[in-house]
Amino acid sequence: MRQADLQRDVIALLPRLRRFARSLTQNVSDADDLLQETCAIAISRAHQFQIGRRLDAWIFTIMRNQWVNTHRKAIVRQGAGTVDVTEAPEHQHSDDGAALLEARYVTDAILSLPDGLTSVIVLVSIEGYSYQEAADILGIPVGTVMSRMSRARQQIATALGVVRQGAPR
Amino acid sequence: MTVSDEQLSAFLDRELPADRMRDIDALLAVDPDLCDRLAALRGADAFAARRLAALLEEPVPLALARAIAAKQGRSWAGSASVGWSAVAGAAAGALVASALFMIALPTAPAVRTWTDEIADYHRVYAKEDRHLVEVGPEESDHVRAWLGARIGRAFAIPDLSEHGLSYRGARLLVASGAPVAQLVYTLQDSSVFALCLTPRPDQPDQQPNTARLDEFDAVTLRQAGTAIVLLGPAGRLDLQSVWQTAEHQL
Repeated sequence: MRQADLQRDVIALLPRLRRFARSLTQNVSDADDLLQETCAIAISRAHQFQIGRRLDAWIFTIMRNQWVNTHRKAIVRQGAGTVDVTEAPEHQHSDDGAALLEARYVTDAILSLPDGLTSVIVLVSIEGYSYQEAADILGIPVGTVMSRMSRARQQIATALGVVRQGAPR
Repeated sequence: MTVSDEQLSAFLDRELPADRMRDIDALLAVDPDLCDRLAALRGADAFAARRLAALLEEPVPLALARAIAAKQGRSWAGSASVGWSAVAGAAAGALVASALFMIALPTAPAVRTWTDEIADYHRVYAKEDRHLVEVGPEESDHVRAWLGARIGRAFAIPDLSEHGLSYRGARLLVASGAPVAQLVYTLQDSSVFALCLTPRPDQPDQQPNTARLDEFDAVTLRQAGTAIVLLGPAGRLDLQSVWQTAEHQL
């Protein structure tokens, strides 16, 4: 694909790319930086994009990889040593998400979900990707997508005050 | 048989094996608690859809868009190595500049249209299988009489099979405070499309427009006092062509 063509298509995707960046970083400033870098990389690699593939999925994957790599470098710079990709916060699970949500207004609940839950919600519920496609983009197992979708919905429902107590797990 | 939260969530996404989907479908018919749990998850989805759709309405900062278009701006981690030189051609630049102008314009507070509400409904209902519609295809005469009375106009149920679409039935929705007749079609892979009609007696006709609503493609128009939207997953069908087929039959 020609760079000019891909650049034009990237521009059209900017709002959706920015939303996915927000879901990864949970921070507007970092999201915009990540978006800028991702677009730069995608355009520079235009020749690698295969016509017929989903451009948005291709760029989402670049963005996720860029986020993990950059985040890992940031941790190393802070003196935490080498961090395995699977140990990056993107891959961590937490049981205190509901407590975090309770501390925020409900309207911010989605973007405040911890540990990669928001990006899974964005890809599956909003962008319409299958679990396998979302797993490919995020570089995680399908089972993790399934569990994150469930935890994300439960935490949102809890924040909305509509979840039933004592449901079997 | 118990249904875990994970299974129920995956059921909502139609990501379980077919036999497990059928089991849960059968349980939902007899287990009100399970229905309540599913409704809670659907509520979470609807809320997430609204909140995340609102992010698309936030203007991309002009400086950021310019940087993306023309190699400006700082590197997030100092690690990017980007070949920008080829992207600043005049023709592409003109296209990009116009796109950036639209992206960067300050936007008024978002006003949700009935089409936005239809997209919200579609996000929820299109994941249904057994409960995709209220009235099935075997009751077409009833659908025409029932929904025709609700929206105040007679209509036929278009045969869209030449586009690979099978009629699955209908629903009554409410959007912008008015009744909506929703005719539901599916492709062979179960992708769901909807043809929706709602009364707009005081509004002028409007030619069909193609629109993108997040993950959906849509054709919208007004015709003889009725607002119409044809909506389905993006990039799957030429909806203008589908609408042309439907228009002659409605």
